[in-house]
Amino acid sequence: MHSFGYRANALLTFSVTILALMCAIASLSDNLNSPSPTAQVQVLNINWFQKKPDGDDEVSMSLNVSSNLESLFTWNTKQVFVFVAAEYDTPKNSLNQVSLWDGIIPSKEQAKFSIHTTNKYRFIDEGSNLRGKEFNLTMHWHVMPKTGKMSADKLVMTGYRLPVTYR
Amino acid sequence: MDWQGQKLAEQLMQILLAAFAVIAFVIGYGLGSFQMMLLVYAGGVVLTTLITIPNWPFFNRNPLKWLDPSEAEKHPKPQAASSTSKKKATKNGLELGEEIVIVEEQVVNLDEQSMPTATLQLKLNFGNIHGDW
Repeated sequence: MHSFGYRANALLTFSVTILALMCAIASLSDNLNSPSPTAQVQVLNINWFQKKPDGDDEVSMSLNVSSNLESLFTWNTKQVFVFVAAEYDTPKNSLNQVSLWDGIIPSKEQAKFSIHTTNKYRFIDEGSNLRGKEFNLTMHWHVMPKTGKMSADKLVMTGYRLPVTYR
Repeated sequence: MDWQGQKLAEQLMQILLAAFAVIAFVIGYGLGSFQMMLLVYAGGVVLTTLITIPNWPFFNRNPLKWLDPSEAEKHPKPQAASSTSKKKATKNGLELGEEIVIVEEQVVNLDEQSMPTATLQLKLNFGNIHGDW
């Protein structure tokens, strides 16, 4: 510690190491939070249900997505990415997941929402299996921290069914 | 800075940074604001820099006592000439035992200036001994 540069280097290194330690502890403190989110998705209307010229089924629907994700936010949360996916099975695939809508929630104040929308992304099947198909709508969320590990979870809502005939 | 000052500077730096880290974390967690934690910690780092890096007088309270230049002139370093002339005087009366004794003396009287010449003398003497065997 005999020269200006030597002391400056020691201080810089030590302060950055301590900063890394603080961020690690901040990330670990997220485990103290036990979230209790709620979600509900309603299919308001099937707008149309067609078989495309290439042979795949496609459906357009109006949804009402309402949810309260406030308990997911901690002091170390940057944003929450949420999306709704339709899940069903076909003879070819045991699980098909099609994302219908997603959004980014930047703060706790905007975490309680109710959105009325048509599906943001097209609901297209790999084949022609959707007539009369029973499907789940699952809301997934990814909690993105300011520092540390990202966590994800989901909520499954069952009991939705597509019409038996094309419209 | 003197030695005590350097130790003090290092200890101060570590303690101040650790303390500010704890304070910053507690404030940030309490307020629920990550940004506040970073701001308080940054302030702490700047304060620590101002305290430990510049050469403040209180770091130099135990200064080292260097020898005064006028004192040093009164005691000059020993010269190389005196030891090598002593070597030449005894060279003619070579005996195995004597040789070894002189070599030892040479080693004791060595200082940095006369080292190269003494080494040269040693090499020559060993050469003589080898011939006699």
